[in-house]
Order: sequence, then C-alpha cells, then structure tokens
Amino acid sequence: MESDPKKLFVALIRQNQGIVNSLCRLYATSNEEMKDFRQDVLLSLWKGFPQYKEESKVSTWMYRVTLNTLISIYRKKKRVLLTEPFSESVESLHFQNSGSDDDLLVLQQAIGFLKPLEKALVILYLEGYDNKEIGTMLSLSETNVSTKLNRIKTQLRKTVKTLQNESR
Amino acid sequence: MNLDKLKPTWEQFKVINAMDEMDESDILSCIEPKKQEYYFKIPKRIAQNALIFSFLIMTLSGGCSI
Repeated sequence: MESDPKKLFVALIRQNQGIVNSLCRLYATSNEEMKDFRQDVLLSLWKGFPQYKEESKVSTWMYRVTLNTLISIYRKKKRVLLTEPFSESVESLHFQNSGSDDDLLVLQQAIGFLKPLEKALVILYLEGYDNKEIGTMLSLSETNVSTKLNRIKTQLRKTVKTLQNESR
Repeated sequence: MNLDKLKPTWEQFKVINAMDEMDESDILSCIEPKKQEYYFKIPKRIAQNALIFSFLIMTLSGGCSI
C-alpha cells in the first residue's frame, strides 16, 4: 500500500482515467475546454481525496465528484443549455471497429443536446446505478430521478430519430 | 427509448477515452499550486504602474512652454 497520498492519488487517476476523460469530453464543446474541465475535475478529486477512503467503490466516488464538478462549472458559467455536441473525439481517435463509430457519434450527439444534470443522469444510468444510488450521488429524490429519466428517454428518442434521419 | 441499448456504446466510449493518457506530471501539475506564477504577477503589475505614473509625471508636470 502506497503511503504518499499524492502517489496514491496519481495511481488511482491513471487507473480510472477513462471515467474522467469520458465525462469531461461529454460536457465539453472543444478539446481546449475538455482539458480545462479535466484540470478542474482533478483538483476537485484531489480536494475530496481524504473523504474517499470512507467510501466503498473508487468509481462511485469518482463519478459523484466529477459529475457534480462539471454541473457546478456549467452553473457558474450560466452557459446556453443546448450545447453543440462534441464529436472530434471519435474523428480524432481511429477506432478499429468502424461499424460502431455511428453508434458512438449518436451517443455523443444525443447526450450532447441534454442539459448538464440530464447528462449526469443518463451517464449514471448507463453505468448501471439504480435510481436510489443516482439520487444520492446527485442530491435528488428517487422519484425525481425516475421522472427525469423517463422524460430524458422521450427526448433522446426524438433526438436519435432526427440524427439517424439526417445521417441517411 | 431503451437506454440499455446504449450501454455497450458507453463502454466503448470509455475505452476510447482511456487511450488519451495522462502521465504523472500532467496529474501533478493540476493538483499542485503554482506558487511561482503568483509571485511573478505582483512585481509585473507594480512595474507596469510605475512606468505609467513616471510617464504621466514627466509629461504632465512640465507644463506648457509656449
């Protein structure tokens, strides 16, 4: 077990950087913004690192801190809610399975049109957390999570349909 | 819409983003305060103000020679 908290933190981030990068990318509209977001998220994670030891799963702690940081960045900036979806990541990284690139673009674009809190709800749902856990992580009631998720599903259905029609 | 259909895509998305690796120095640069930059800002501002004031004193205190 590492005794230096900084070394332990770096190792933890490097093991789970897929989570931090994915979340920052879904909230950012450019590569530069993604890097800025990642910097803020890493600082928040570092500040909250002493509390992490009390929690059971690293990933749960990372999702909670990262998503709440990203949502608060948006609240501070008071940005336009409908953001331009960021699709550079798929284009810049040549993924071997070309057949699934369309799905990735649809996922990014569809989620990109959602509001910051709605994005967080979808991401946590896709991660397999139940409504109660999502509520705890985002300070929402279980009923509120369920209602919002149903609304998001309807909205996503429309967006995906539109995106698929546009790509044809 | 069945969000469960997007789960494999989400997993794939995470794998792709894990490739964008941060090394130890990248992470440390984000969490360590940049003390040097802060200390350099103060003399820079003082120097700027001193230059502006000395310029104003030289030009305005001379008065009109005509």
